[in-house]
Amino acid sequence: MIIMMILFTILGVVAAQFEILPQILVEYSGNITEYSLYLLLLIIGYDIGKDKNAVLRLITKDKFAFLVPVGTVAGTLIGGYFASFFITLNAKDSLAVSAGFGWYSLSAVIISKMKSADLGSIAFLANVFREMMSIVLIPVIAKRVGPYVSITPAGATSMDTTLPIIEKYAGESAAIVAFAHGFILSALVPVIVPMFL
Amino acid sequence: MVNYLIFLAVGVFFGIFFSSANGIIKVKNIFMSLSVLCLLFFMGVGIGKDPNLKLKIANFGLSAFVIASFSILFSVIVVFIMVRIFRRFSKQ
Repeated sequence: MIIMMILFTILGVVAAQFEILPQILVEYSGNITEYSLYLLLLIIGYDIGKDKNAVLRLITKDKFAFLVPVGTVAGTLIGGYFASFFITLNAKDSLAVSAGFGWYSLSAVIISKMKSADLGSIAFLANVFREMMSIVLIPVIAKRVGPYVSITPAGATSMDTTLPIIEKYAGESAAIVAFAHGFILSALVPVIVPMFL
Repeated sequence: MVNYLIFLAVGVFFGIFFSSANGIIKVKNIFMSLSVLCLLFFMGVGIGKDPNLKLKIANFGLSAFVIASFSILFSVIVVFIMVRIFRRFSKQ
């Protein structure tokens, strides 16, 4: 299934880039993504509600998992800072780009408006790359490292596009944490990104 | 974002009260696979519809890739350490 997921994402990019798709589908791609997401959230919610043990296990044993967003924010910003040693951007710009937490549309818009179109483009690409890498890494990290650690690469997308992957490979408990994680990080993007600009 | 929460909550409600209906599980699995693939395909379309995508990748791809890789690497390391510490605390 994961190969299919990666393949479909790449197919979408290629189909739009080479104008293979009918224009109407390209135009409404945002709406189609949104409605697919609503359906997915219904299904994932159903799975969470069905598995009462997952909720119970999380409340009684793993409640610390709700601190994962703190680790993601700290780790992402440390990573953004270190990245500046290897590229031509200064530390503040690199931090602003990394603080998009995978939400490429919003972070790119904020950075383009507040700083420059070039840095906005870097933010767009860096956060697209983060989302793409997450799709590949979540199953591997969930299997080899642990379910809660697998949430962190997804950043803000753990409440939407990568949530079904987390649920499938890390389980229902991780899906609950992932939704909260994505929700918190999404709310933080418009707050943290401007702090570095 | 509130919409997402509402849909998730409605799903949880159905899960709690209609968890034993066998027919739902079969249909659910089909819809789950279809909607994941549909979501990822159109997410890709959303990214690919930018006419300057190739130019952006050529100019800024490496910097963007380095930032994304370091962000993921360090967030995984920090959360891994946190989870281990908290597991140890909750066992004591």
